[in-house]
Amino acid sequence: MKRRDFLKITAITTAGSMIPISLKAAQKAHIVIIGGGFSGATCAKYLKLWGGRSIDVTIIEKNPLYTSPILSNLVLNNIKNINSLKFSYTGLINYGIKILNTTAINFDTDKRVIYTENGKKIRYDKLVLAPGIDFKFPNKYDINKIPHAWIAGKQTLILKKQIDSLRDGDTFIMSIPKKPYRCPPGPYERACVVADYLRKKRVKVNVVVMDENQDIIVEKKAFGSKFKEYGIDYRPSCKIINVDDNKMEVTYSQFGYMESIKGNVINIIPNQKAAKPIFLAGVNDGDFAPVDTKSYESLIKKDIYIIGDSHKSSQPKAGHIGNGEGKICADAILRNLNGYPVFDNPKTNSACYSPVSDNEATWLTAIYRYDPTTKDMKIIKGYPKSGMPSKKNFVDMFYWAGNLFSDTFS
Amino acid sequence: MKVLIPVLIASFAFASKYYYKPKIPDKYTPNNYRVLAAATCFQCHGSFGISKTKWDSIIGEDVKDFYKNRHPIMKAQRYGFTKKEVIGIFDYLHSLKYKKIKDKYKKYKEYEEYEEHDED
Repeated sequence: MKRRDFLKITAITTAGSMIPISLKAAQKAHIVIIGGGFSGATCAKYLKLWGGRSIDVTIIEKNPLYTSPILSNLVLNNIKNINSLKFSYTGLINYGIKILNTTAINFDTDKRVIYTENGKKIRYDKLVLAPGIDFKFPNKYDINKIPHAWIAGKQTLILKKQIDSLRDGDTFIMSIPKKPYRCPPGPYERACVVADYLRKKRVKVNVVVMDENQDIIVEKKAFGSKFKEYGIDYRPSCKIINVDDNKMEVTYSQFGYMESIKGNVINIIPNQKAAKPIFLAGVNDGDFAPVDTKSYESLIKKDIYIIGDSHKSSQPKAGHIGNGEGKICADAILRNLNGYPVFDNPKTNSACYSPVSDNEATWLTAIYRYDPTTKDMKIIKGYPKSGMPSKKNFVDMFYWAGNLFSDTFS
Repeated sequence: MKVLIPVLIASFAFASKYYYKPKIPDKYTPNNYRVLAAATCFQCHGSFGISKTKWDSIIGEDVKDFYKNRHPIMKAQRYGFTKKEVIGIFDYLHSLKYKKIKDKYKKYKEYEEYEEHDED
């Protein structure tokens, strides 16, 4: 053995001894995914289905059960029980995916190490960040009193309880964040579902919707006609300045004027940014993380991929398309690890149903193809398209969601 | 622009008629996009094209079913995927060793009028 080789081996062994024992045994590539939502869970599942025993896949997710924001507005009008929107990771574990119920608190992207809240050091070869969204609150206030209910679960139930407490003559205030935010039709859908629910309960409540956008940003015909039918007080271009949880008052600016409004129930959905891990890993440019959507690899750091609501692209932030992004990312990682060029013409689609009452829904769809000049997805001409509310759509909504849930979590 | 399109949906009265247990492979095999393209369909039609809801299982369908389906969301997919890709998707699905479970369930067809319009 040459001296140089001996030194090399020593160096490798020394470096190797720093790796946690559990990971040292296998020489397989280790892919760690932060976040077990629609995009993260799908990416993990398809990494295993396609990469099989050649890789190790770990998801770091603090919640043992995932609560789907999709269909969660139907908890507000008693159509769905929140427990029916909870998914366990048993299906993923059966594919051989490891789930760690903890939080990533820091990243050393040079050494490729993740530090977790429970004191573990986890080495990775490829890091997939799918942490979802975080909020840009206008000021500090108690979200247990003024919920956003934009991350489903406990927040949904708080809002549900408050809506059920509304009486004749009360005011329900809702705010719609400035785009981009998670699920573009979602807030409009919520306003319709709540107004319809109160109307059918025969409780006369003044429903005020304050939108920071200049107009309804999606499905304007459908939501606009429903807003009119329900008598919703829709106010465009309203920027939330201050939320007072004591006085139950919202201060906002509209067309250059400051005004305040009091509500019995206030549902502020704040403006949004990527969740914390994006900033900890240093892959953000402003509020979100820029990527090449051919693979979802970060444009800032190598071997880090960002999928779902926290990346920056022309695609909407939503669970259905997040599932598609997870698959493209999984394939790109496997091609990269195996020395094949990344597929250069991926396509994604966005499809969703939005309930607008307890028996009608609308749909919205768009399809995207990769544009190599912008490294972003480009919407195919003529889209998006949408449909008006119908009872048939309401039934289809559950067929759509059922298959999306099963393709993601089982 | 508002258009009314008659829609033919073939759906099944009960749960999936197909069974497929995926094998976890030893290594990745490049797949010329057809596997990834097919996976795009799984969002609505279930993993490996086996639906868990009353929507159709595409594992048992063919290229012509893709072009026959006039559901507006399917119409969008026709704009998105080339004929070559669609053929690839079904070649892949048919290559899976799935079982067709003999079922007593009735297949029914439904005619609907869908309205669709462009987003502003």
